[in-house]
Amino acid sequence: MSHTAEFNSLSIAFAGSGGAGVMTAGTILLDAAAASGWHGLMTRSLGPQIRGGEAAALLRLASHPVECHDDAFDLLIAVDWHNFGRFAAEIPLTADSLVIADAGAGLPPVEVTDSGCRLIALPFAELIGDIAGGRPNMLALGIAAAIAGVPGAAILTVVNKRLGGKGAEIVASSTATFEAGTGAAATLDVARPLAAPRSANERWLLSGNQATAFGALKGGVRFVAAYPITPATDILEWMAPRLPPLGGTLVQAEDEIASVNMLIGASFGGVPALTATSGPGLALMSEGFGLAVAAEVPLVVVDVMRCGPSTGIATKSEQADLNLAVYGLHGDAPHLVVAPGGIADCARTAEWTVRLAEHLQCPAILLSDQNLGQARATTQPPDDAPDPGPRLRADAPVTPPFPRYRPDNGGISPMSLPGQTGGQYTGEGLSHGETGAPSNRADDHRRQIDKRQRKLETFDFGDDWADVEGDGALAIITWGSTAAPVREAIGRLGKDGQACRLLNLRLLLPAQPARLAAALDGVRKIIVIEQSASGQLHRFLRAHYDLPAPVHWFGRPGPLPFRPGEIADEIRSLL
Amino acid sequence: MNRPAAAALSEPLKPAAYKSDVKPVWCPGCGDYSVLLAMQKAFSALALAPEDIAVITGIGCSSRIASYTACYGFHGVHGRALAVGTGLKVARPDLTVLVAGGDGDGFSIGGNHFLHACRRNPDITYLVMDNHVYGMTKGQPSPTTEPDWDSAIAPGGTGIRPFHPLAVALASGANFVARAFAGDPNGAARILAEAIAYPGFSFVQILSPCVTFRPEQRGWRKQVHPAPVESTDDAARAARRIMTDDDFNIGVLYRGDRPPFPAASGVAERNVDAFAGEFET
Amino acid sequence: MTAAAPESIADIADLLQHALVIETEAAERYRSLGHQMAVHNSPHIARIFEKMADIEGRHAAEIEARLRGLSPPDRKPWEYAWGDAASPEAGGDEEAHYMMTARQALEIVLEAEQRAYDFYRGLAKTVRDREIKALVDEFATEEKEHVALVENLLAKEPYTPADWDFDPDPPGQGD
Repeated sequence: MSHTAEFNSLSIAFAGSGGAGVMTAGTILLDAAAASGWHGLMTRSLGPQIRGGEAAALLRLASHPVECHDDAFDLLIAVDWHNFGRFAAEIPLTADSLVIADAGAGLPPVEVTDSGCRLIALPFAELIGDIAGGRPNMLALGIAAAIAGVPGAAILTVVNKRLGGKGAEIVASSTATFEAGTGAAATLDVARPLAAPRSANERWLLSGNQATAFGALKGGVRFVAAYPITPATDILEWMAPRLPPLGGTLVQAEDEIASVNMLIGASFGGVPALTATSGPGLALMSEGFGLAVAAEVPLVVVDVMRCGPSTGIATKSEQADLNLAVYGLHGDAPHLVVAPGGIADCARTAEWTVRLAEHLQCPAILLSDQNLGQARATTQPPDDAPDPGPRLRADAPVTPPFPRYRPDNGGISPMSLPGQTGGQYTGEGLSHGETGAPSNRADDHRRQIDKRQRKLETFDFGDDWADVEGDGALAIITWGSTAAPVREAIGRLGKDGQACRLLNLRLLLPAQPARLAAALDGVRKIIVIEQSASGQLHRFLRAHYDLPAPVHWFGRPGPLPFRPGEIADEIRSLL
Repeated sequence: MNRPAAAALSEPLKPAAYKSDVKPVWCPGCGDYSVLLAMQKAFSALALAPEDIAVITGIGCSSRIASYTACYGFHGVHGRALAVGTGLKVARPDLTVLVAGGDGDGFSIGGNHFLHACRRNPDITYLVMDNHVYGMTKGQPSPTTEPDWDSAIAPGGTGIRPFHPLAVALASGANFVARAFAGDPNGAARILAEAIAYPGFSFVQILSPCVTFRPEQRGWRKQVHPAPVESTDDAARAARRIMTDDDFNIGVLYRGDRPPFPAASGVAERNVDAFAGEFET
Repeated sequence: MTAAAPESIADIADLLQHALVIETEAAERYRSLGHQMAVHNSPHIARIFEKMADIEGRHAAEIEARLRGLSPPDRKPWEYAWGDAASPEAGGDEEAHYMMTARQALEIVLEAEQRAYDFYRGLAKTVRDREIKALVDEFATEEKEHVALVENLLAKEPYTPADWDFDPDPPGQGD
């Protein structure tokens, strides 16, 4: 191979359908690269079929940490072209891209040829030859690994680990087919070697959903009510077997309304509780969530946002549930809305959110999204989240009638738990007095509304409310999965001498006006970037904050993620 | 290994000890006063500590009962009390959990949760004060209302076949199925005490007249009668019996032997950090 | 569900605990009716029930004093020996009404006192033991006095008018 320039970042896509196994190929490549010291991430694109649908594994491998996809793909290996048009837009190609396809797959679609990329057709069936049980995905894997320079030994270690359970024959045929692939790549002038990894720090490899689940357990969650919904089900399925060894449990509920109410029951009994859902489920949970606000019962609802409205696109990301999370409760119902700012951040932010909910005796919505949740990436092991302290308990002995909702102490009142003698009270959704007894009185209603508002407004959330990075008169405000491509764009502009400030919001509710003002001190232009057609973040900022400089908005709905290049271009156009 | 249930009192408390100081706002004549009395007598007979009992309710006149007991209570939203009670019992199996509400709350908006609570069979008791009407909202038909009952919202009656809670409970797997009558608080207390003590999901429909919107229900006293046969542990036999039920048979229909839904152990054998190893590269 | 037979009343202590239940449950029932009428803005009627509750409460305290040091057999609430008659202290509450007149309130009390009297009178016919019978007669006499007391109060009350339950306002809102 004559290509010697090294790649700090290499984007590789595998496409195929109907049992081709491209997901497995992608996963093995990422695992092997990670074990060899590289950084990387992988996302998936799938057709609507349960099985046999068109599929694309989208990888980015790099010598430095990455948390989003690059502007285009350097390498696309296609086992076939069936229904490729469905996700062609997610696999942008340029004239520098290399596309290797099975010769037997026929002509590539126009979206591929229009890019001007270099096309190589290989006879997959012939290359597999008479390897018994040889599969085209392993051939593709071999080709990719050779091109990227990921050592075969690392790949085969992973093959043994992941496929070993299926028997020695499968491992043997996979290995042989893999080697046929590396052999085939060696005959072509196609190398795109990755530059050596820069650091050998300890790294984890996990998805945003796994990170969220782990963080929740770290925060103390021991009761989960679960109703399956894409793309949140992973969180629930990860937690199900891991709760019992911790003394906890997961109950599959009959619907999302039952889920949120089960959380209220468990939490009323003293056990930190959480569920995970997506937009349609969160909509169903509104009433129950409001009950938790009124009765001051802590709980966490994770919303892994997907394209809406209504059923939308279940498998694709969007940032358009902000309105529902912030405004979706009837009455004045102050509550917590928190958003992880990256895949790794999912663990620490989930832990923080659980602890905040417990301390403030308040329900919280954790707004993750499908881009974060279902991307698997190398990350630093997460730090511990700040710990404001457990829920305030009533000290024994307690004398009845217990004032569960006494409004002093900054609004946080001690909680008795069932089983505690003398602490009896009835948790209430009705407007109530300080013992919980229902009350229509104006003064009681006012007092409790003020209490619930005050406990959030007077709490010091600390520096985790947002990531504030960089200097400069130009500030970009964003959140969630959009932060990663923004950060990368800012990095590119920085290399060109253009300084930008980044404000990646983590705490959305309650708003932090003083902190935002300080973070934007000296800013002369603001760009709000978000994956929402109606500009939900932009409007939220206008509703809750004074913005000190003119705002330019750059947004669109899902399903296509933002890429660093287009963000950098947008910023440059405003300079 | 489940947390053990809280211990019974060595010296039982009088029924009055289970009533709070909050004065009920139910109409004088309401059957729910007798239901409250039956609950107090049942708790007393079982020698339960008031702090070890949680009464979980939804929305409606009968759902106000939580505030009227001296136990822990939770007054949630319409139709969802069974979910709250299930979550509480699974997380805190040491408590005695009694879910209560009316026929609208339980069988209309709550119908789905009723079905699944019977299936799931958690060790809780569900008491439905059935007066065949939505009382709190001033008199609309409920799922158990007669099809020809005239109302403003459904002139001439709904024409819909009434929901039969005992049949649904039985078919869905409830472990203990019974009907009681508020006009006999001692008899109701006896059924309720057994329901609470019985493992798994115990369902008791208690006929509780609404004298304001269904004044004719004062006549229920003359219509109720003890069930002619003893309860059965044979679901098929119970099913045949319930299909010829006249809605006024009082007693225990069915006592099953399904194991209750498992609760959390509350005992940690591992630390969360142990899971970090799964992510290391 | 039939209660135990009156013949099962075993001894003085057992009889006393039956009497205590009658008095205590009457007191609690009248107290509850008093609260209901107070909550429903009928203080005059509330006072009638409160007064009755106080009287029954005093009787209950007297019986409790007599029970001190005695060990009556353990009976759950549904195991008391009221016989096939409805338990003397239960039932009849569906006749209560937020607009009931003093006459109607006293009729509720009268009916309860009459049932208590009927219980002791019935018991007096079947009980064998002389000591127990003496106590039964004592309680029967007392209940007869209650009945007379209430009948006297009733005699002072005007008859309930035909439109006693006319309320021009519609029912209130709920939750």
